[in-house]
Amino acid sequence: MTVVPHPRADAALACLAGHGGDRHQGRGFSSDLSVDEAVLLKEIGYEPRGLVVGSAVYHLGIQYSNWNTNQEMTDLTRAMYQARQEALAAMERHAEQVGGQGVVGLKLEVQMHSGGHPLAEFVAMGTAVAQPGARSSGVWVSDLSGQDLYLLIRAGYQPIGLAFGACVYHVAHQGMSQWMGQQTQNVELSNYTSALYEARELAMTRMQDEAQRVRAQGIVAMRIDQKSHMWGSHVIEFLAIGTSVRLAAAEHQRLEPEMVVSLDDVPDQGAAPEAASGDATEG
Amino acid sequence: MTDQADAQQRQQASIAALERGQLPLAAQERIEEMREGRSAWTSDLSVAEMAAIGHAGFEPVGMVMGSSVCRIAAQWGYTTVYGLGGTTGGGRVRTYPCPHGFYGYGVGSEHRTGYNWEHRYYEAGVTETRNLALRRILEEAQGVGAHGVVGVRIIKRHLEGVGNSLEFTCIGTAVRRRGGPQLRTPFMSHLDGVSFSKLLHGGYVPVALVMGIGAMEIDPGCGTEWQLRSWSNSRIQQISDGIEDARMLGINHLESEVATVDADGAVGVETDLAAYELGGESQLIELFLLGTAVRRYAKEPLDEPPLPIMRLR
Amino acid sequence: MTQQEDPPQVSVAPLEGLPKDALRRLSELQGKGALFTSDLSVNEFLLVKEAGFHPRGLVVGSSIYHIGLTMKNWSSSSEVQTLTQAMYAARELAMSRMEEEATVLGADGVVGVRLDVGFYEWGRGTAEFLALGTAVSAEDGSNWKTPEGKPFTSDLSGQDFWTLLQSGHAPLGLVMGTCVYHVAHQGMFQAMGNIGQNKEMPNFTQALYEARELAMERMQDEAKKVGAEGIVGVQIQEKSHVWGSHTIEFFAMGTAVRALPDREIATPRMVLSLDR
Repeated sequence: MTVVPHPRADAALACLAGHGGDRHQGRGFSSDLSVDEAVLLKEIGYEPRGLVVGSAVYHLGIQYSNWNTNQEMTDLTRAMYQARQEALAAMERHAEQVGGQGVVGLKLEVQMHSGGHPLAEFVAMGTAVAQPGARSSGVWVSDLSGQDLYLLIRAGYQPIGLAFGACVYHVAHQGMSQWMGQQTQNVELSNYTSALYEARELAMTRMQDEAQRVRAQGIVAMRIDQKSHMWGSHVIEFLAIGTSVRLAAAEHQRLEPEMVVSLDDVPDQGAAPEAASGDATEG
Repeated sequence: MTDQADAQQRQQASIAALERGQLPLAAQERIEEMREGRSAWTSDLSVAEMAAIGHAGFEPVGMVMGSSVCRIAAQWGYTTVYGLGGTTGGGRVRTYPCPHGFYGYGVGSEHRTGYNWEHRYYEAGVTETRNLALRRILEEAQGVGAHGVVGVRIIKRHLEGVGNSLEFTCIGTAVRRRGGPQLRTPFMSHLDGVSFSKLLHGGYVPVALVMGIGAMEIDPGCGTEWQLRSWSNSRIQQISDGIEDARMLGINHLESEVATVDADGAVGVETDLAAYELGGESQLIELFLLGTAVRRYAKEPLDEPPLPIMRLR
Repeated sequence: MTQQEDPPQVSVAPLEGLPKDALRRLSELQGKGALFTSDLSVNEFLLVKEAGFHPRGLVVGSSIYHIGLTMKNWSSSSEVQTLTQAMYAARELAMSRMEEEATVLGADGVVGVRLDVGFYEWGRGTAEFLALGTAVSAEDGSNWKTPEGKPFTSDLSGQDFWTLLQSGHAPLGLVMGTCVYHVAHQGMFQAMGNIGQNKEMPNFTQALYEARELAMERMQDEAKKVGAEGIVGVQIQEKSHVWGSHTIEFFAMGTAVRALPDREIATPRMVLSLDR
């Protein structure tokens, strides 16, 4: 059987035998990137630089408020916001240390510590990446995957960073239960509607303001989380979070996907999944 | 009757071979058969993997395996191992003093200091077991003239409880490139055949299996025990710290192995967190990471950029 | 137990117009070169662009309704009309507020609409209906609005939206039908007499059939009203929410579509994937 030349396989083996290879500079990376992500990042000229972590612990004082009114709990909003910022900043510093220019696959989680002192610990974790030879000021952060980054860059966009806005809101509920137990009609409760509307809109506006401050053109893959954490169900934190992007190319580059029908025996989708209808409170 | 005697004799010869640092007899025989092409190769590659490996310029040779069972004679309990006020010889330690102001006097007393400490002896035991198994699978791969092994599956098991015997087994499919240069050490990868092909086409070549291990023993102090028995939803500091430290130790270990094999990094890292009860309230937190170390052999992008598709079904 | 006991802080009139916080936020998303926001994933975002649209902003509509009526032990299986109307009105209100936000933005339509029903612990039978989606505008300025001049709505993902257009159709709007049905309690006791045998419970079966048909019919009527050719992606949910297991809401929702003139439909390629 004659040997068919295969430039890739031959170059790969030569590299292993000790001759040649276009090696990374700097120390070896560890990451939770999959093979697909590693290959796609390389396609757009990025190298992984390692797992990076940052954390911040905040003491959350009890903010007293008028229990009969719907209002934002501004001290808590500020504390939750700053704690996240600090955890992200610590992670960015770690990323800079390993030579990263950006972070993909961000997971931003919070652990609540009740007991003697109410504490909120935020942990930010992701994989730092860099484009060797490119200049960069600061480290951009996003919860996009390697595949998402590849697609955005191919379409001509550049991620600028995480944009998020928070709002901790207290919903007045005293006197509700008795009144509601007597209701025989279905009515809209416009008080509550407007209260929750306001809270969500505040969170989203703050997120938008952040994006505008960095002169972003848009925010993609955003979501709105609502959690009561450890405060009881009448206090809710609304968090709007997404990745801000800017067009780096002259215009959006079309991808022109091809429609395919797979010949795999993929299990049928079946009935469409039900829309979520669980408790709006944090479990 | 002679069959039984033969079987016993063979078993003893095999054990002797292991003790000399060689492969067991059965493995030696199979390797010879594969090398001389006397039997068709077997593999647990799927059809897709076979096609992908062929597309990458390699062909399967046969299945290879490396296995080892070792005893890890670990001792538990910080004060048992290091005494009161002792030092651990370099491993990471955190103390959790009694919040009531008492100083601990050993296990069992109501007020005692808690310790989180890195169990280097256990970590070394796991590493040594792994090294033996790895050496054997590499030997088999070399014996059949392979350039590397793909799709390596790891079985890591405590056979009689966490402090006793540990089994470490790796099984994979050896592959070679006809006419390729001989390598001092065949490459190893836990990634399947399709991922191997994607990696190769993407400009990376697998070098070795790399592992990270972080083992932190948690000897709870009275403060932690009190927390564990309480009703509130709260984060237990000592245990969270133990998990965090085990994690960082594991990652550091993985990165140092990446450097040792002169690789650029590790991909496809799988993480396994286990907690073993040790008696009393103590537990061992073990974080085990497994990845494939890779070198970038070419900076050029893929021959053709990936085709964006919309799957209709 | 009289109504004078606790002056509640609740008003029972529906909210007029959009909250001013919403208007402020939407104004930031308007104008040339304005910021866009979207909850589309990266894949969806790119496909929406491929389809010739540009995302404008996340649009939200919500309404809070008290739906926790106590169910008496009714002796017949029938629709609970007050609840049906409530569930319908609550969703309509949430949807129309979302549409209004899209109109303020001058958008052509809303994709990826999610319609969720959430309960708050303090609510005691109060549900928040939340409609959320990304408003989009056609890049070439063509008109995609409904015959009434409103932005189209659809619960199609970015992927399905692109594929729909490729197949020569355009979305008209979300159509819904709902029916809250109560199954008689007495029927239950009758069925208990058959313990030990595998037997159909005809009461329940019939009730479910009836309710489902009503919901589907109402959804189809909505589609007819907007002159649709058909409905795609229909989802049917059956939920008891807060009413106990004898009262079930059947909710059907889908996207009504119309045919696009002169669209050439591309032929898909067949592939076999190596990484399953």
